Amino acid sequence: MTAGTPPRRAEATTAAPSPPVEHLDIDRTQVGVDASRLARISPRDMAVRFAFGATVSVASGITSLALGLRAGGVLLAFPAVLPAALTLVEKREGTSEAVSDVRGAVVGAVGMVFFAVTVVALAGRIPAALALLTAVAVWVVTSTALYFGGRRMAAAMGEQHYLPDVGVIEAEPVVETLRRGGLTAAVGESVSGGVVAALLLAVPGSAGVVRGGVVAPTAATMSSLLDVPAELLEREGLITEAVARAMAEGVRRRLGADVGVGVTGPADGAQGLTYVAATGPARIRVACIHGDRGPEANRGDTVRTALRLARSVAEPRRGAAGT
Amino acid sequence: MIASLSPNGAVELKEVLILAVRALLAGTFVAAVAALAELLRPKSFAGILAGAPSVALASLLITDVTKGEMAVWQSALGMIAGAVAMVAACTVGIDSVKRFRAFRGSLAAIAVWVLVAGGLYVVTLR
Repeated sequence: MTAGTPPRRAEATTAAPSPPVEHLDIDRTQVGVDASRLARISPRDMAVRFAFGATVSVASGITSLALGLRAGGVLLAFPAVLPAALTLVEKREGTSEAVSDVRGAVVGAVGMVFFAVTVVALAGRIPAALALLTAVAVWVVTSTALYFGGRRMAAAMGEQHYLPDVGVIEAEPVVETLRRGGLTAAVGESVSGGVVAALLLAVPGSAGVVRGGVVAPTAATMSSLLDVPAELLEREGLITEAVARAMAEGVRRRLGADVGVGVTGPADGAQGLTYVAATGPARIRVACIHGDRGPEANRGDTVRTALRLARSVAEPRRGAAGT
Repeated sequence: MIASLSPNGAVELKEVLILAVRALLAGTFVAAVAALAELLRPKSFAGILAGAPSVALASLLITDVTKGEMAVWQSALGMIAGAVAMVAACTVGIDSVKRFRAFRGSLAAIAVWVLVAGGLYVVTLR
């Protein structure tokens, strides 16, 4: 599901910073299995899920005995595991990923309605085990069709709002991390038009840690306001990893901040590459985002990635790099 | 099915065993689906599995073996109300998680589920 040609990673030509550089490759459209996550599955988390599943099933069984099968059946769709699952996702990957998880759960829940209706329609007419198997197939088909149909529709509908659907709550951990570390941040943006800085400044108490932001969508402003070398822009264009890093370094130096964030991508938010870089006291992280989910969603991905990277480079370095 | 309880209201031993098997199977299904969800990306796609009928499948399979097809039918009828409530809860959850973060946001979603499922049960099923 990768859209377009995989991006070329440009070499940085600005003064080489001492911290190591970590690269992230983010495909907005890719759906699939990531086997590398296998190691992240914790037995404790699975045990929690097991306990919730078992508890709901027992509660449904006891309710069936006490109040009747229909009452017990209602509980078969009780979302008991939601708080534990979402809290875990938020802890590991941030609030925006927890929101994405709930968005997916809406689709799965609609599929669950079809599952139950299928069982009602078929039980008694065919063996119940076969009815259940058919209902599972109906759930799979309905849910995946709704998911991919929804994505196509969202992309076809195009722009609804200029500002991406990213809540201030998603910027809070960044400001908190900066405050805890006694650090300050500055942002240099092109494609995101100042949204990253606006979100950070919307967090109460951020004035002391956010030094400011620069919106520089052209080569001239990148060069004059963020010290991106003119020869680099001429040679590689505006949208490269090296430019994102130079923007981050430039805004950091110009505004005297500890953490610098640089965002560069196509000005209209349309499909195409976007690079986000964050430089901190001990780490530099660069993300290459590609694939097209529509201008609004693309901008949202860019802003979320900038917040995520800003937070990660502000955190004290510990062991191997993580996301 | 009050008749399934013993005269003094206690759950009979056979029912306890059935509940234990239900719990084991449902817990296993939920954990297996959660493990699969961990491997999928993006999160919005993996999230579909949060709406997977894992508990329902395990419970209805046991219901079929122990109580028969009509019991499965009755339970699934009730499940329609629960699943509709689940759609409402998760829809509210999108906004409540954004506003209140994951734990409090999902508790708000569960409150919505209780209200909607309870309302549908009282109005249409009881």
